[in-house]
Amino acid sequence: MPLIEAKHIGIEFPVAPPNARSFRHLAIKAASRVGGRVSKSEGSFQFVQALDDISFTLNRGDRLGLLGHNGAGKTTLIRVLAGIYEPTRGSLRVVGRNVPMFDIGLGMDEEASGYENIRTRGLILGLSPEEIEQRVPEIAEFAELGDYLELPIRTYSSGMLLRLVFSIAASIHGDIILMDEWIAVGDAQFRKKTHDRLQEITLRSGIVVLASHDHGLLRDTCNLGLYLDGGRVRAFGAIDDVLKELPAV
Amino acid sequence: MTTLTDGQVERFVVADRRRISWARCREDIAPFVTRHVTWRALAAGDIRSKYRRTLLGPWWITATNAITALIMGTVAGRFLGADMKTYLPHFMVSMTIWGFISSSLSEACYTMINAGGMIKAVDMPILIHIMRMVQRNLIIFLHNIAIIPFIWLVYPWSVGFGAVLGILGLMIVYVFVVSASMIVSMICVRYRDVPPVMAAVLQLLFFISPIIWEPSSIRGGEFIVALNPIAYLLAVTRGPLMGDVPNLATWAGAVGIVALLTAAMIYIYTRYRSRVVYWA
Repeated sequence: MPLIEAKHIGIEFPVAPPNARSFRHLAIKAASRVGGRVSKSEGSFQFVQALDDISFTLNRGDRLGLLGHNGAGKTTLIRVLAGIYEPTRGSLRVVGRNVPMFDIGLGMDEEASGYENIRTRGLILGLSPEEIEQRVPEIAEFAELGDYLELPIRTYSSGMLLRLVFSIAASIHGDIILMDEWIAVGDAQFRKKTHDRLQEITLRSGIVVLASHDHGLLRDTCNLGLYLDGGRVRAFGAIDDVLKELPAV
Repeated sequence: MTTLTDGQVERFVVADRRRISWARCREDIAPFVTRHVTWRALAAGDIRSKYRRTLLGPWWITATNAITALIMGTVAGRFLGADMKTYLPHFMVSMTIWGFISSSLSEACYTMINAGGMIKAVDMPILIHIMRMVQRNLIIFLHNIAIIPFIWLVYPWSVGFGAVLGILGLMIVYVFVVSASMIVSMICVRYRDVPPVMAAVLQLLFFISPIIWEPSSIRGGEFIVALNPIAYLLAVTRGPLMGDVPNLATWAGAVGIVALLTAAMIYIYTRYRSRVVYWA
């Protein structure tokens, strides 16, 4: 039974060594709508309160859309749920296996072949070599890169690279999909394919958390919405109600 | 991360990083055992990637070490006026072991810093980055040490069954390198001024340790050798390999140093592991 239970989660980022501080401080102050609140605590260190008192519970079948300005804390919250940032306040319970669908291209080796990169990426994502071998044919088929998989990925076009990266990410099975923006990659044909695959994955999985600025997409995909503003929950509930809370553009 | 009865995984995090419990400690260091496949495969990939499209592949490491030995034995030997029959084996074995220690520690300075992007993107225990780096250096070390039997063929020294103890010594050195690298790496990612300081410390250690000189040849300052942890590590590895099994006190010294360092590493890792992502 997949479950996410966040209770009063807070995240404080320590930022900037003292010499870089003044400029940053001014910049953040000037654009007060953007970003979390900057506060000074714990000696001479500055902290950005990226998330503040976030509480919600997600059960099987919930698809949560995260909304908010740039710097409202959407990406940070996704990373907290993924287990990358440990909350500095509150508690988090996650039952089920995560499928991270963000930063999916990290750790690729330019000189290594497509096949080797599939293996490296699989290892980083926590698969065993045997599990990876089982998936290689499926990934290769989905990416439609054919013999190119034998070549170093520096020979790939950017679109081909995205195909490979997406195919690897989409082959991971789990209960909780975490997505920072809906991924749209490649040419029209592949874009359709990724869209279909993502829908299939989100339908199959227990819980989906999707951060996006695309209101139409969020309305189509999600049943719940969480509107973040300056790291705080501005609204949480049915997606249609939350979308109404957003300031008109 | 715990596995529930129905095969589900559960993760429960409470923000109280100052409290350290045995359960948390065990959970944090478990990947040292459970994830060894990951870093071994990643490190092997790194080595393959580095020597891709080369003629000798990773055996280039052995070849460059052989060239060093050759130069040392033919040219430098004349300058130093040392007896190459005893000095060359000492020098090569010492440099190989020291190479493993020093290259791991100097790489450790930047391991977490360079892995910053990945630490922020993937939920992977950060000790894997360190173990991957140490494993890479271990592979290099094993290629380097392959030259030693050839040197033995040219300038033989007496090797007994004591040499088996050298393997025990190498295990001690391995644990030392893992623990020290982890500590150095976590300090360096937090305090960015440490890497250059570390480079100076390694240079100092190189000169005050019996690597290019033999402990028997020094005149005065013996207490420096007695206080130098590297000297103990060399004594329990190079000693047995070169037919000079150290006494029990030296073994106890080496094990004691490594045990203390490992305890410190486990404490630091458990206490600050979750902060590294904010520093990286």
